[in-house]
Amino acid sequence: MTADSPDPAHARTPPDPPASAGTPESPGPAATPGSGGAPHPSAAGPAPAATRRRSPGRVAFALLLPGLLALLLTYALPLVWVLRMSLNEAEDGGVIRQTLSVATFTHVLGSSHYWNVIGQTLELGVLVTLCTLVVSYPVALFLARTTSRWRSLLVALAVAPLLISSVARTFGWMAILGTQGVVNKTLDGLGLTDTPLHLANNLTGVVIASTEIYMPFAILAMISGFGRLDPALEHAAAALGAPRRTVFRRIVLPLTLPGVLTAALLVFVLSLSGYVTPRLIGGGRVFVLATEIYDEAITALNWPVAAVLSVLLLAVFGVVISLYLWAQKALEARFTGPGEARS
Amino acid sequence: MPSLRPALTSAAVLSATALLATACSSTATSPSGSSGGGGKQTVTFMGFYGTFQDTFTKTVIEPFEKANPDIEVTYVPIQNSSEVLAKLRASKSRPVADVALMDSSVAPTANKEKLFAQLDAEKVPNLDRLVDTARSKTGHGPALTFDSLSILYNSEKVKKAPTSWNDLWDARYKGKLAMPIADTRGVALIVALEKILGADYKQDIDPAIDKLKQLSPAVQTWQPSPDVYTAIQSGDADIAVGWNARGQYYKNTSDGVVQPVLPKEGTVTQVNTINLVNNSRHTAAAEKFIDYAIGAKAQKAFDDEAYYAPVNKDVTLSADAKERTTASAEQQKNQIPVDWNWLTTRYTAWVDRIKQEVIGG
Amino acid sequence: MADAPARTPSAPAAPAGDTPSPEGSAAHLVLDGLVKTYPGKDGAAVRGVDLAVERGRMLAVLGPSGCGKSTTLRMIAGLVEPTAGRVRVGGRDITDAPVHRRDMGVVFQSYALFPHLDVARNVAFGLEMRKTPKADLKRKVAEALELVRLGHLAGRRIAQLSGGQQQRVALARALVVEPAVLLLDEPLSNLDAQLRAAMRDEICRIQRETGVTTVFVTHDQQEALSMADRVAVMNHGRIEQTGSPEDIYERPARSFVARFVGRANLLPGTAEGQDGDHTLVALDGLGRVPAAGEPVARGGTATVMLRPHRIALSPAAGGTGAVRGTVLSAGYAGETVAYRVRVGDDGPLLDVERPTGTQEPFGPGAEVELTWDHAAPRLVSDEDGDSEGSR
Repeated sequence: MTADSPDPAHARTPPDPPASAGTPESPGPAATPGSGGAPHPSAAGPAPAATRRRSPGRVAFALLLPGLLALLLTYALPLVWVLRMSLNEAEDGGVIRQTLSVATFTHVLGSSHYWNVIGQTLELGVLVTLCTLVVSYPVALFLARTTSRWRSLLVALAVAPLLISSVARTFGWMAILGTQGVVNKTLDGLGLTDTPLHLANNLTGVVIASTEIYMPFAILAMISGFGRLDPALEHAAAALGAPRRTVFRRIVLPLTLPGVLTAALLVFVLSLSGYVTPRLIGGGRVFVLATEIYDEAITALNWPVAAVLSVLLLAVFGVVISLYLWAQKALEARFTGPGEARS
Repeated sequence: MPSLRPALTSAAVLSATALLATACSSTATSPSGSSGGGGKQTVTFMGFYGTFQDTFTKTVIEPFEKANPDIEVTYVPIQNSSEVLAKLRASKSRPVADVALMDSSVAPTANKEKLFAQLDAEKVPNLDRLVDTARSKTGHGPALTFDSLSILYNSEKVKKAPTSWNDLWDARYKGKLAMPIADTRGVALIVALEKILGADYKQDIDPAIDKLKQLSPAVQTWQPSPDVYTAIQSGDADIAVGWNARGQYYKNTSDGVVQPVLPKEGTVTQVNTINLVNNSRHTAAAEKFIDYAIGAKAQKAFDDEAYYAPVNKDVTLSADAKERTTASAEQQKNQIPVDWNWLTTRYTAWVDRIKQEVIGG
Repeated sequence: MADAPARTPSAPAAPAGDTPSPEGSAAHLVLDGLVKTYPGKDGAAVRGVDLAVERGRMLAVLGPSGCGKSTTLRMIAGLVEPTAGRVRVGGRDITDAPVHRRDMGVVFQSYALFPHLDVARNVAFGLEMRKTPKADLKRKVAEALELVRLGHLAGRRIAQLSGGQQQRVALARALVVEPAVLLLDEPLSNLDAQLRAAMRDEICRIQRETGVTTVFVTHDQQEALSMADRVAVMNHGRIEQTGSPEDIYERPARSFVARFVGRANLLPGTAEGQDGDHTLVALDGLGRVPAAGEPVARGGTATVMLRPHRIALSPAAGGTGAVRGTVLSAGYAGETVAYRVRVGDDGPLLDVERPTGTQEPFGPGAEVELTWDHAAPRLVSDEDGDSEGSR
């Protein structure tokens, strides 16, 4: 069932004079405002079905307008500006030469440093995503399955860290992981270590802090994606002879995969664009795209390179989201059957 | 036929990225206030945030406003020079400030882009009273402050105070170093090291880079958070490089736990220039303000509190301030000369080398 | 025989009717004093259930919602741990065996089919757990799907099936492992009326063909009566009566069973003595009525059940001795007409159900004579398991 198929219920309503509606395939009358009067040539088919949405379409468009304008101002225009900037070239001292060339792209893509940055960004993303999923999954599974009357409270507690800014939480982790931190002081006090462990000011610290910071997002995404979990399914599997571990592997895990996938996307994307945590706890050693963009724009005054890096980050997002959509489709097909997989 | 789901998904993705983009874009500042009623002129001044703002307001702006009742100065705090550059670039014809501070490694770019105007010595008579190093060769904004690169240490953890740049390489400090050098501090440090190593930074910085590479394993953090001064104060790091003026401020507020040292080999001066913004609608008042700020009275008042070396020949700092800045006799002798104007064009390359060869290497 | 063994207060806990003893050799599934209490909740969900099902037979556990029948089923399946009592299958005590070692085929009310697996893999799941060799597995899955007539849908996803088809897959999945006992939890409640009738026959056929010992739980008396070999009526966590469908309907032991299974007129009276197998009961407005069933001692209170369809109506004639009444309302329901009749001038109200087409229907206000055959009135016990504790 697609969104635009003619609806017999509406076909029964008194047909308006066929106006601007367009074909059922078109996004709706809102797409062709102003064109009143004669029916669209290709609307010959289910004309009544097409006209039915004339006024709802206008209302919808009117309702969407503020949002669309805001989107245009805050998203489309800056994006165009960034794209334009990426085609400029930087001269010494941060002077920008207005031009239309791919020289900055060539420079960035030809530099092993920037490839290293992209690689470290992806590495951090993968590590953080894996760690976050591993620690969030049991929590989310428990929260999704519990029938306790404290469930809402527990869910609220699980996401409560969101109330505290990630800056504050990162500083908290620095206090825990630093050479003078709780962990090292404890290990030292117990005589377990002679020299402090390097838990902060490096990738390890960034991964640990980011994991905790993205946990609430992952837990929320998972809980909302665990809709297919049903205790009856686990009971059915057990009754058919499956021990607990097999029930988890064969039933619970596959049914929760869509939620896990959504959480993975969310955490991965957040981590790719994360600036605060790598900057604060990375000790200047963790070069990721977000910090590099900042450094290029602020320290080096090289706006074209910063713009190119932003475009590359967007491209990475695009790839990640495409992968997600593909994986989601593949997963959905397992539930709906290959024939009826949602297009 | 497109179905609803991908459409919704892409809409969600779009709005999510939109939010991201919005969150990243900096908030716009209000345009410079035009003169209010009563014939009062308003000069919008972009200066650094934090203690700099507090001290500058108390020692320069307030006395200036008292002396010039018809002029009001609005202080717009900014994080760093690049922010000033970005804001002025975005408001060329109707600038959002009349007077702006800018690091001398960035100012030449703004001058070249005609964001700043040249100053008329007749309108700004104190230009004549400046020390040579404070003057602009192109007639643009002069220096307002002389700061310098210092070694910082935690006096509770480090018993024998470092006195030389070479002390950074002391094995005792292994793993206890905070070296925020992927910026101007690194550039200044390279200049200092080149001098010590007997090299010329205008020719070849490999000696300094190689020397820094040797330091690399001893460094605990290249980017202490929130900044190097608090990292030293809290004892997260024992020894570090940082700017002297802020270090002196922290020495006072930490009861001497943070100790800035001006090394015996001398140090490199960092210059903040004060500039008249091109197309300012309050040029006359702005010139008056600049003249006051580089004048002897303001310089002494500000530098005595904030520990900068004066740009004005006529200033004699208090004994305390003199000893703790490059205004001291010994430091004056050992000044390491630096050509920030020339460095403007090398800055990015040097920082890149620090990041890629010293930190990343 | 006024000295016939009167029911002692402790007796009601034992199932009424002709239950074979739990230790009976023919019993395949035996529940022995199953009790389930939940902490923090007053009273027990199941208060001592004894049941025995012979091999290859189908038992229906019938009762209103909340009576404990589903909990009982879950205790058999091992999904709920009994507070007390034992479960035995084929002589083996499985009370402490975990769910996956019980060898039960369970069909859940929601079917609980695995949405990420296709029909064939759903059915194969239990066989895979039993490590059935591949060739056997394929054959058995195919056979099971044939049994439920879904062979052509083996590759379908669960989401692509109708409710009835899902029901069949659930059955096939439960049966393919040849379980010791098949448990069905409200198997037809999620189907519409027409499909329900068809599936009822289908389940009976499959049960006959496989010969699997079956327990199913339902709140629908039609379902219980038409499908099961034996019916256990549950209320308030106890078995009220166990017996053949006919026993349950025609010879309910208790007023609850009479009321819950079919419609019943329950008339309170006083026992006045015996007449052969029958107890003579003086009923308000109806005079002395002989009723079959557990005898009640003279002078004891007795309740007489009279099924509405067992009462015949005829136009009032002048004769005496006949029970006369006035039709208060007549509800036409196609195959039958449901009357409410006031006996005498202020006697009891009786529900009467007459087939249509045999006589001209009576209208409201009509004076009628009520007659019933000798076997129609039954004595039922008023004792309610629930109130036992207060006596």
